[in-house]
Amino acid sequence: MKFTVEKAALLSALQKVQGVVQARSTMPILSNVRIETGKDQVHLFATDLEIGLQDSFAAKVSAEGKITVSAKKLYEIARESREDTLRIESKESQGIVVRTGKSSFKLRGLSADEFPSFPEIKETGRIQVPAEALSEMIKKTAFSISSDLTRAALNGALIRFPDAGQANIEMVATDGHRLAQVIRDLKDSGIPEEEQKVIVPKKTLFELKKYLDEGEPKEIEIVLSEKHILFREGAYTLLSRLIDGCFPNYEEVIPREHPKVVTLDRELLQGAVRRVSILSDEKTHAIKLTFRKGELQISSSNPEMGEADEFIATDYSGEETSFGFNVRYIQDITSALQGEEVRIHFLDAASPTRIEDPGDDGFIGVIMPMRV
Amino acid sequence: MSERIILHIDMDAFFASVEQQSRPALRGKPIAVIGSGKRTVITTSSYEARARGVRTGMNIFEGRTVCPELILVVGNNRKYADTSRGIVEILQDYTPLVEVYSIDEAFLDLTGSIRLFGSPEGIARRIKERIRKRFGIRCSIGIAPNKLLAKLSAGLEKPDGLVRLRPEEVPSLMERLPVTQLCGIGKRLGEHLAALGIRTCGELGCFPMADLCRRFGMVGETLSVMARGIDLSPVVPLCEEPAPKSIGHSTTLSRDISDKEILHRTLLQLSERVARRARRNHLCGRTVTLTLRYADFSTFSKRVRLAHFLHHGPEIYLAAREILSSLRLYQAVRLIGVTLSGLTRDYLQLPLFAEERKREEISRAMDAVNDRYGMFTVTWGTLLKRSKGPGVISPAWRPAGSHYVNVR
Repeated sequence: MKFTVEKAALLSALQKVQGVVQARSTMPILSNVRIETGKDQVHLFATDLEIGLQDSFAAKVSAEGKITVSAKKLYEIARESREDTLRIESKESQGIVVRTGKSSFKLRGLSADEFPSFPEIKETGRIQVPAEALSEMIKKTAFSISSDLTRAALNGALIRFPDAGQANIEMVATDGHRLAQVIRDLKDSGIPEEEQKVIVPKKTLFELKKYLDEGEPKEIEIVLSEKHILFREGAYTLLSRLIDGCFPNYEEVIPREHPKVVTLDRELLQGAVRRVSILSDEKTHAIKLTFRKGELQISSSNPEMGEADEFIATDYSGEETSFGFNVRYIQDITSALQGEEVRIHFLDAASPTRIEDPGDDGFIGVIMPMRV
Repeated sequence: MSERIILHIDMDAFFASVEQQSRPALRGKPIAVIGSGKRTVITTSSYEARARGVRTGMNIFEGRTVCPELILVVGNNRKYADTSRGIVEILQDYTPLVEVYSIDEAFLDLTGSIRLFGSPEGIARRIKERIRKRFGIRCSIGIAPNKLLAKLSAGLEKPDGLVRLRPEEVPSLMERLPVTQLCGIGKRLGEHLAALGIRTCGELGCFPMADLCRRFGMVGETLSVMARGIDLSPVVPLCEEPAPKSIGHSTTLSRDISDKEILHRTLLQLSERVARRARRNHLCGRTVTLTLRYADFSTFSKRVRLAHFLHHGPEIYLAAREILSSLRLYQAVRLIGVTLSGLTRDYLQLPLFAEERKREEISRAMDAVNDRYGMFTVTWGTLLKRSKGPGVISPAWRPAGSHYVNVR
């Protein structure tokens, strides 16, 4: 194997696979990246057995071959290089030599044949989604994904793919205490015959979002199979295992009509919550919201530190209602939204509260109160 | 601070005495109280047995070897808990400042009581008399200016002792007292001190504090102060106990087990007990620790910190089972334990989904039934096959608060 590559191209591809490579793994080979030459290009592949990521870069290939080497070390070598061109070659499968300017690195490697490869997948559906919309959907739901390992089905976001008749895609995440749902219209309807719902792991979504935000792609092709999901754009391919589990019936907990509605300036609310949270209980993160005629009182109390209060003028005219919230849940949702205002629908201290963006019909956030 | 008067009371051979009282045939005989399991040890022995060399912690074989006519009695935890509660009630007649130190020990702060009840010795004699009349058991009492010395003096004339240590007697007593007699200095620490040439409290008190601190860290200062008979710690009554840091239960299995199904069932049973105790004290925790002791007594624990606070048995169980399944068991398991920590009071994030709200209601309904008819009256189907033998009651048992465990 022998090729010459521009530093920027190599670095960009290596950067993408870093997130997938495991720093510490029971299988040492998984901290490596597989390098394989093609025609005028080189393919990189890394996997943690849950997610596999493949990307390519243009290169002058003068001898074919494949090998695996430490992804982290190769990345560091490329990053620190003073020259713009790197020459990489390997004679046997024992390692590679990287030459750049007056430096050379011998990096030991492992045979590419021992590296796990992409599993064969049986396609059950395919859809094109604008990259920007996909990134935004992840941003507005991912914070609600549960990290509680005992609830596997909640460790990812549910994606509903449209059937031939619909032209929208939906993403939902919940941790059992709050929920976020985004629905976005698509230009075309889906290919699958029937609607499909899959649960995509959190890590996959974060890797994908990183690519969507940095790589500036326009459109992503999503391919579905029974156990896997694949995101593709050009040479970039992200394949992930799906979470096998039963997602709770989320539709029934989204309050449709709550009689009490308040619209607030988003940044004003965000700022007030941030200030009051300084004295919220450090373990429970509880703050209290009290809606009364014409105003909202946000308060916190920490038995060891003290109390805080802030008032915001509102157009509320209903009866006085107060409830507790985990301050993080409110912060997550208000910082994920972009509109100038947020609208809060509520009933009482024991019912789910709905938070939305008045300028975006496709988003719904739900937070369950805390008893305080 | 003006002179305090602290009383320490220690029941003599508590479990054994309770047994001898409830079964007159056992009186005057060497008896040993053991647990119900196959692999139990002697938890307490009567003074008759002690005279023959029977010691706490011996196994049955060892006990029988030194005293062939030793009578073994399987402990009845409920009897001990009830007796202990009754004794605490008597103690509370003399001061509200009663610190229950263990199931058979307590501290009383009598500083404010002598105006009402007369001399401390008088109070002590009345307490001894009432306990002997009502429960038929004897106790040893020490009265001193602080807890450390009170506990020390209660141990000086066992059994049935009553020692008052006056402040002016302290220096001469401490001078020749071996350091290991002090509560808190065990065998290991005693050996470390001996290596520095320190054997008596007198020697420890004279030893430069800076050197002690260099050798033992923060403990060094405490040691030096203790050796001079100084202890400023207050008597903490039950209702003012600080919030617990963790709630845990463990059990020694009746035989070494490697069958995961039995381990899982035991885990669920322990998790239920932990959860119930947490709920009773309005506590939730987010760290679950699994402790395993292998057949060769090597012990280790592994913990997991969860995203949410919890207080339901099945939730704690799932987290503990998750830890268990991440382990490769190298040997059969002898002891298994579950602990909930990272506790907070009354954390009540309401669940979003109906299923979990039902779980909350199920727990509440189960608690209501079990409070009335006893632990595990209503329980999970899996636990119908659980081991039912009562374990040995924990010395940390308390008549109320988070250490209170309903015993069978």
